[in-house]
Amino acid sequence: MKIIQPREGETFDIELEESLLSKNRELADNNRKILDENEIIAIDVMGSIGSGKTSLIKNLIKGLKAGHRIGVIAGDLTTEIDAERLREGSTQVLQVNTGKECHLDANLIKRALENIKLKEIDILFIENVGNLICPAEFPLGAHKRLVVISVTEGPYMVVKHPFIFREADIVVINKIDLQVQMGVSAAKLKEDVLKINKKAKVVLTNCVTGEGVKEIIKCMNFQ
Amino acid sequence: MHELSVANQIVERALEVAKEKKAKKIKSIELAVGELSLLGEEQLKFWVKEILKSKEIGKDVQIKVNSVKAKIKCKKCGYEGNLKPANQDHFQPVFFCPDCGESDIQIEGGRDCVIKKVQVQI
Repeated sequence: MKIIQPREGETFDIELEESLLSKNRELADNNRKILDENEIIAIDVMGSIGSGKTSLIKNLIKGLKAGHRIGVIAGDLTTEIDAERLREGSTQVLQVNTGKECHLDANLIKRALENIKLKEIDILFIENVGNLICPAEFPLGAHKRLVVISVTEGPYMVVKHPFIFREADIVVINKIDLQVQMGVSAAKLKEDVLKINKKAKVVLTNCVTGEGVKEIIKCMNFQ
Repeated sequence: MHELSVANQIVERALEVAKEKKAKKIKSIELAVGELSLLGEEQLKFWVKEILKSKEIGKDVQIKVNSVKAKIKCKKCGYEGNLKPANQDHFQPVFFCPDCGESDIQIEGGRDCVIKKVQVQI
């Protein structure tokens, strides 16, 4: 058979139509399957730098460790500080360093899951990299997405980052003990969240005293 | 915000298809970027060019970016279509139905980043 091929020097188009985000979504679906097969409920914990993601997870572990076996994947650019902080009370803690990346992605979680003894845990917290923009675009396969903000970040965190709040199941407003000093109202932040996402469960917390943590656990519907 | 990592993926894929076709040059890459994708078009163009600059095969590459409008469907009033300028009061559109103001809307398009085609020279 005669095959007509481009000649040297000729230019032609290669039609691809390839989505860059769909690859992540496929991997995320696969992660969800692995989690379900192992009867693990996974929570993706997102929030900006210093909002209290690690403190919140510490509090959640404290409140859940009596009845559950808990694993944590701690995402960070380069350090292991968070993994060290979370070791107490968790059966397994795995640090994932993204290097220069501003978010965890489904592929990193896939690799992390290969390094966790899945039969030995029933709850998995995934602490995302501190960032309110990029993680919104990269689902990991977790069952619930939780976003933490704090009053110390100012009054505009929700209206400035609608995407991540739109996709959240639970929104935690942390450091409510500092509302007066900061001149920022947690109730107003809550209102902003519900305006964008009326299905979100919004909980106000103080992770130093543990106030509000029980309510978050209730929102997670663990069996 | 993650233009660099997306640019790396684009370059990797373009180099792969160019190699498959035994191409000597990557002339252009055409992308479609959704307005809800959280990617800056200028930064994306910059990084793809910048990464390819150091490679003989891609040093003169042209990057075309077609912007894809967001498409939404309102779960309350049934509106189907684009967001309207009034929705875009910040660097990202805020997600309310332009007709009835409902927040419970389905995003049907404009979130993705797609490599449409790669033009190569043999």
